[in-house]
Amino acid sequence: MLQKALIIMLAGVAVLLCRAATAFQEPPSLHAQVEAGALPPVEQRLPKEPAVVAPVHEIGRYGGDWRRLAVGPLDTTLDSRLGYEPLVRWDASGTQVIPGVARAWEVREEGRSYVFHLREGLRWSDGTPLTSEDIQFYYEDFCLNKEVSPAFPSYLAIDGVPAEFRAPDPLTVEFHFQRPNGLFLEALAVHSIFMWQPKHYLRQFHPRYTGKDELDRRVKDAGFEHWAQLYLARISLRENPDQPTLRPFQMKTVAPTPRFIAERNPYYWKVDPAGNQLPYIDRIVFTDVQNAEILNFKAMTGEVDFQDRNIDSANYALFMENREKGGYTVRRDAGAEPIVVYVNPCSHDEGMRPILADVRFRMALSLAINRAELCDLIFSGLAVPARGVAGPFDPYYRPEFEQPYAQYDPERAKALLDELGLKADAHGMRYLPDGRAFRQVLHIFPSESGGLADQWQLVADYWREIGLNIVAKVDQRGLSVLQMQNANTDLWAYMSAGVHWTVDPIWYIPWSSFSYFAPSYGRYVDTNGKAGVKPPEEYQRLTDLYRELTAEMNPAHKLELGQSILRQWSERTYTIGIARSDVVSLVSKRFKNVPDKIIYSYRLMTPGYIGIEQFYLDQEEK
Amino acid sequence: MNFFHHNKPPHSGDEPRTTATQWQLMWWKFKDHRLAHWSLYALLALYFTAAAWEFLAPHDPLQREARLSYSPPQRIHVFHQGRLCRPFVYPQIQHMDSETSARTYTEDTSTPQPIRLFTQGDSYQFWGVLSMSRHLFALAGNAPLRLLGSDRLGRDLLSRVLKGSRVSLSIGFAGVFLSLLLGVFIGGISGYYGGWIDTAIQRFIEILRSFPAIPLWLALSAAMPADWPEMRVYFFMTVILAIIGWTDLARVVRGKFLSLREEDYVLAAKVAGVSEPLIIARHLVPGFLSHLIVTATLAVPNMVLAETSLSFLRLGLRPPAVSWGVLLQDAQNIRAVALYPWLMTPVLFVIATVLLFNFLGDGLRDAADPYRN
Repeated sequence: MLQKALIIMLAGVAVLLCRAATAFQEPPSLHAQVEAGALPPVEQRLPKEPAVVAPVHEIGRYGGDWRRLAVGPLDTTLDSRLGYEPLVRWDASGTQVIPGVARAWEVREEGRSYVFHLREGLRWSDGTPLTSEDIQFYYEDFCLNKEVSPAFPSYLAIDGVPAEFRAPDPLTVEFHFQRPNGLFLEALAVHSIFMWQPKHYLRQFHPRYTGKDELDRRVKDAGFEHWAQLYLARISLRENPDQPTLRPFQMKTVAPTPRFIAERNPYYWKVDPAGNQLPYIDRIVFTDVQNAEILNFKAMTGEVDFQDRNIDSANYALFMENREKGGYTVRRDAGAEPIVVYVNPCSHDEGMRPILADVRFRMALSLAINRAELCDLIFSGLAVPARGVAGPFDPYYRPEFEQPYAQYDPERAKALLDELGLKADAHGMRYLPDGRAFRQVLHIFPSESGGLADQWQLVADYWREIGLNIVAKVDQRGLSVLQMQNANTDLWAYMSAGVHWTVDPIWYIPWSSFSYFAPSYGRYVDTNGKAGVKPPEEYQRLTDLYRELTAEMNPAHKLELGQSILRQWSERTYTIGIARSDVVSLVSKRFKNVPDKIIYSYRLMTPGYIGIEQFYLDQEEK
Repeated sequence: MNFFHHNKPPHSGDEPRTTATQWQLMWWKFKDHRLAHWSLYALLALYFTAAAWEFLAPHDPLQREARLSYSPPQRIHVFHQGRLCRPFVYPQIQHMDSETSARTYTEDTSTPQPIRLFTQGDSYQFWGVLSMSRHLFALAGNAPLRLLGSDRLGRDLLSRVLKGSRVSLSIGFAGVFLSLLLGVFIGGISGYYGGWIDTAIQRFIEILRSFPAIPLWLALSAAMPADWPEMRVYFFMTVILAIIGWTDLARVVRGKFLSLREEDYVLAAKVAGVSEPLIIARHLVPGFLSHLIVTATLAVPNMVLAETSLSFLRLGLRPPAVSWGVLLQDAQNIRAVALYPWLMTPVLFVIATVLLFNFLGDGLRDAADPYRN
């Protein structure tokens, strides 16, 4: 404790010193290049006002490889979870929006205009300064170009109309909306990680800046047919090590390779309070493994420094047993996202539709699940029952939303089904009012990290016990989403959004055909009534409330609107929530500055929101 | 070869060898092959188990027991506090380590639970018609008995293996039976008529056989809709397995037909005006029946293995249907190897079945030609 206090005091002194002298230190691994003249000195690489990141526990030490395991190059996530650099970002608590690439912002005209100020001297990893021209390039030549970006990114639009973009000077960018946009900052904190396209590098692949003959030759040389294919391959951090980046680490290898190696960005624009240029760690080294099973085995033997991706929480006991031998600690942190079952209210099956659309059917499904037993058997206690109405980390959530229909009450569930007209035969299995046997397939969407398949058999068993013949089946990801969007299948098991759901309305609002709980209504809203099914008043209310929420600038009113959406969800049980599973991760003894509590969510880009640049390796340990 | 055989002559007593029928000769020769002989009895026992699993299994294979999740196999004791008793087990007590969330089990040695024969337990529908609740063996008051341990949901693995044996064992037979029908019919036509029919059928068989078997099976079983009832999936699985299986048999049958139709006795029958179906049934089929039986026997274990692999890959039968392959889905991870090795016991049954069938086929092959020494 005393030591900690001392370090904090020293850090404080260091801040004062560095403020006074603006003396910055750089990682020793870059000294040679600076001395050889290949890199300018650190003062010239950093912006005038570098972002200062307070380390979670202490000022770190430089150097070392962060060992991770990956099942294929997609697992490197250097552009999202391990490279979370949005225009504005979530703070370390995951609740407030703080400056990111932009050092400051102003909201004008009651939320119709947003002005962002970039950091002077912030550079891409090749040393070229980032200016508003780069963002303009992204906006005009990428987002608005139908060939390379068929759908305009929705976070930069309101009511389907793209914001008007202006770049009055090299360090200022402005977004003007036709009406107030009360959720813009939150949306940027999640979605603007994909905003960074270096114009000076990418112009050679874009028809607006490169002659047709020249570009055609490049497309052909790279083995593509269309310039957009080449362009998309060039902006992929995974596939193209040549593209300059703003992120702490840059991929240096191209798959296939046994190890994906990401090296530090020498122009990274953040420092710690002592003036040390971040990141502390030199490289992230991902060993490519064949499948998640092997990954878990290697992780168990201690071949990772810090990893949650693809770590199967079912192996928790196994990890605990081997933690001494492997030299790691096993963490369990809250996963924000609830696991839920979606019921299609617009089934193509005439006889099934009124049943599936009836709230009593969904209530019965919910009441039939023994969530406590499920959490115990499937998750070995590493999960909490959840109803799938956001979650405790969400600003709009209230604990009472968990209550309705969450208790295990199969008798009441059966009574509800009887009431619905689903009569039971001699074996207790139910049939539809039109005389057909009730039969449904629960389509399981493989999750981002896999490993979800097991619990659904038990859920199907619970439903069989109230007389519903429902079979669980693991689907192919791409196909199952398409089937869902077209409402060709009726029951889907997947995740929902547990925190900051407002930045992705699809999860709780009929918004597009990706609104899993009502894809047909969503399609109707998305196409202004040209396709899909007109939502009934109840569903329309959700869309109306959300529209109101997006235009609301007053935080208290915003809260009220968000809560009334979730309250309706809680009462009408649009999804059958199952549980929120803990995320298990392994941290080697030498890996430091991991906070005591982590919230796992895609919308927080975990571990991105913690600040992966301030992790460090204590080389003496181990 | 002689290692498996008696050295004494196959026939005993004063029954003259010359008057024995071909089947008798085969039986003597088969009895000689001791390993095959015992394999036959073992297989009969296995199939009897599959036929009567509802009665033989101590529990309902779908009955969950949360407090026995992943409980290890129970030991059967005969000594309680130093005194000899009838076979009994001690109840298992679950302990959950709150830190590691690992489950461990200890035996409560104060309360022995004797295993009772022909006792009341979970009720079941024998062969789907007879309502019964008597089991060959179970504990008093239907207390949980876990002789092979439990799976994740605390279900009795022994009961599940027994239930799975019905599907896994019968699907081999059903598949071979279907192949046999197709093989004899198509191969018979091909061999008996010859000419362009023969050429066409043989080329077709070659095309079919040039498909790699596993990917073809995978594609066909992936085409099965998930909401099909269990029985239809089962039937379709046999069809899938037979689709390639029949080609082997058809070739064998054709070859035999080709050689037998040139025999003098067939010519004699033809001259005597016997109809073609009768020639086939009376004169040709008996000539190669023994050979057919051997081929079919050796094909059964392949079918059993194929079903197991498809179900193991989640492409065959799906839970809640139970087969050995379905049970082995649970053993696909390192947890099973490191912490719950008993989940792999269905493998032993698969291995045993395949070996027994191979031994049996071996003996039958020797016996099928009783005149050869």
